[in-house]
Amino acid sequence: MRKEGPMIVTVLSSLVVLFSNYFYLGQQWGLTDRLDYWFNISYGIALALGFVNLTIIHWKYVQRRREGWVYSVILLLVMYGYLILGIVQKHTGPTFSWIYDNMMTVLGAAVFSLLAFLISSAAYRAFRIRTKEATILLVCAIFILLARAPIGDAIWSRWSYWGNEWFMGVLNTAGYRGILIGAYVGAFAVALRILLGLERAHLGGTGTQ
Amino acid sequence: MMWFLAQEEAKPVLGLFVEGTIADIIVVLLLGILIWVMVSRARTGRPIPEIKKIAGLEAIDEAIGRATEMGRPVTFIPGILSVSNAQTLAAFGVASHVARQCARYDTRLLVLTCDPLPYAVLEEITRQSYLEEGRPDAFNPDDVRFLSAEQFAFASAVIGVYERERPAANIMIGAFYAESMIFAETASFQGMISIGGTAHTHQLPFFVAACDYALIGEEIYAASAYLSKEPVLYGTVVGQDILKILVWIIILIGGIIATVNPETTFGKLFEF
Amino acid sequence: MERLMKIDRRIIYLLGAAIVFLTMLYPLGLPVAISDLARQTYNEVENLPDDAVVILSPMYDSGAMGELNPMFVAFFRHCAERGYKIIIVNTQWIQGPQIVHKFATQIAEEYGYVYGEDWINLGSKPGSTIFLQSAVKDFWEACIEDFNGQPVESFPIMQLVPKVTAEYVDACLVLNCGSPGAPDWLAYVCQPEGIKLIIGEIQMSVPESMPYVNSGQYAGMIAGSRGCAEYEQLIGHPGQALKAQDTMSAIALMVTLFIILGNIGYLATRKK
Repeated sequence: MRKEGPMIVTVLSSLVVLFSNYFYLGQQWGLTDRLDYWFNISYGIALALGFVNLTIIHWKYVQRRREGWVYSVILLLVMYGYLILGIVQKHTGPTFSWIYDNMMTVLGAAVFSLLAFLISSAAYRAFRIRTKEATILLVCAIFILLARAPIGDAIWSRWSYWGNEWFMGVLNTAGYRGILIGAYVGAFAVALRILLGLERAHLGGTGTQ
Repeated sequence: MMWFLAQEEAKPVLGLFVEGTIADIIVVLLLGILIWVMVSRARTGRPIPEIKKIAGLEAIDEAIGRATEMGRPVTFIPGILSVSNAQTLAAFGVASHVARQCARYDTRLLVLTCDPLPYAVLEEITRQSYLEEGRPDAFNPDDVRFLSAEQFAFASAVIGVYERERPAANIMIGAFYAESMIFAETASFQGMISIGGTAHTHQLPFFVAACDYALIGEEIYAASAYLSKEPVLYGTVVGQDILKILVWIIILIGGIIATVNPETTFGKLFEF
Repeated sequence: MERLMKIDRRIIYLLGAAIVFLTMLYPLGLPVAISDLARQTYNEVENLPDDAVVILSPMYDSGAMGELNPMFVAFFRHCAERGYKIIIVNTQWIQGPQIVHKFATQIAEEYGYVYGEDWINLGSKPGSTIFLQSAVKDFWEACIEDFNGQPVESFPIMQLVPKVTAEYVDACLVLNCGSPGAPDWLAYVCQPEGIKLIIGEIQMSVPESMPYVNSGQYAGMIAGSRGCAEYEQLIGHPGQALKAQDTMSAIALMVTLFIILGNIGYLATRKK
């Protein structure tokens, strides 16, 4: 029953969603919206589960004085401190907002800005004329890189036109449409596999029937 | 209040169906029939087309083997979205295979998640895989970690794990956003073998550039079938490919008709 | 020659950082040509009715604010110049409305816009697609209160928009960087209700959004930082995006040169 139970819940929920979306009666009853609300509630409970998991793991690190245990102490203090602050002050509270605006926002932007450097080093390392395909990739990458910056137009006045209007608008769009169609059909098939009970990886174990 | 929000004025077609969904229902039924036919063929031992070799999936065993030889762990990241995303579901299939292989070779597996729901599922998948390999003692629940629900906090935590644990292999299958480049490039600095796969087209260039092997789009959805080598799952992949061929044919016909007659109403056929 | 293949990545980083600082201090002043897409986007916003009500949705967080904040400023300024009513709201991206609030307040003051009458910030609402579906049926019920916790019914601007439909809303301007994002606005609000959707997109996701632009589902798109620089020129208010273009040019050139050097080293080594 350990696997059959979740299987039954999965199939029933999927059928309810299908019924709700495609059948007039299902739409009248608004079943999908109710399931969506339940999903949000279960997500909140799962967030609490994640919270507990973090606490347990980092408390163990502190107890065992594992390397870097000081950071675990900081994490636990910040996690619980901010939680209590949020409960007391709510999300519009001055201290809560100040920490969010001046720490969370700024830290997120700082980590995102790493991408610029990492992309540069990845481009230098990866774009080599090894094979025909790699050469095409290299040429296209350089063309688009310069087309998206004014320097391309400074070198050749039509660079951004060919790069943006033709490469991106025609060539790239065609390729992306192909990948998107394949990806969406694939996602559709995965969902149908789960509905039909053929895919059981999410229930634990070998993932086959 | 939810009840009132949910109600809307739908117009029944044939007294049963919502207007504009008949085409959807036909496609769902068609794919269901295709899958059923192929699965039936697989179950009765009749031949079905093979899936082409996918280098990224073949490399998973190679990566785990490398990590085993070096005595270093394997990291697995199932993307950053929740279980409601198809890519995360596809990642579970790969996770199951990776966990079994790691259990078999006694290689440490670190599963790093950005969402508590996949964390709960992956803990169970990993535990069950170790159990099925006869190595329940080797399973360490501390190695399946929920790091953070915040995207860049998760990214920072993952690169911290890379620095401290020094894995030899890094497998990233699922829904990724900007943090994918951070993982892939940091893994490259650390000398890890990286296998990346996502259906998010905007991250594919980063995986192609920075990872040793990249799985593009639908290849991650075929991963579960490919790795398990189950004929039944193979059948489902073949069924989906037949649907894709039908889509191509419709696009081709529509493209020709639209070129010859730009005022065509061919598209309206699919809007009933 | 082999060294050209193995330039220490720290040199690349230091050079990149130096270029960023130098180009900020000493701009090159390279002209930015205006593309047809930017012009189309500008015209779509410019040609809205004089009494238009627009929803401006900052669907991003701190990670993308470097690229999308200038787009928000450009859109807000353009709408304020035309005298449109502006409603700022998003879903799931908690930081978005918080980040943009100060920019909106500054620009509103410049144009004599009164909060609650000419513009409003409703903050971030939970629920993702549920919120979007609810907004179409009852916008007040879906939002409940504004950014500062005041009931939405108390604001004159909200009296104009009881529901997010074409009858009450003329356009949705969505700044997109992930999920949920513009495709959700398209699927749940703009396409069903026939509302014009114009987006601002981060550079890495521009290729993914181009099919929607080509099919007309997105009426217009500001394509990355370059697109925003073009838009700023069109509205006659050069801003952060335009200033950043010299840095973009210099970095693009630097990366190109390193790629070429790496390939020279690779080819020379291969010949041996």
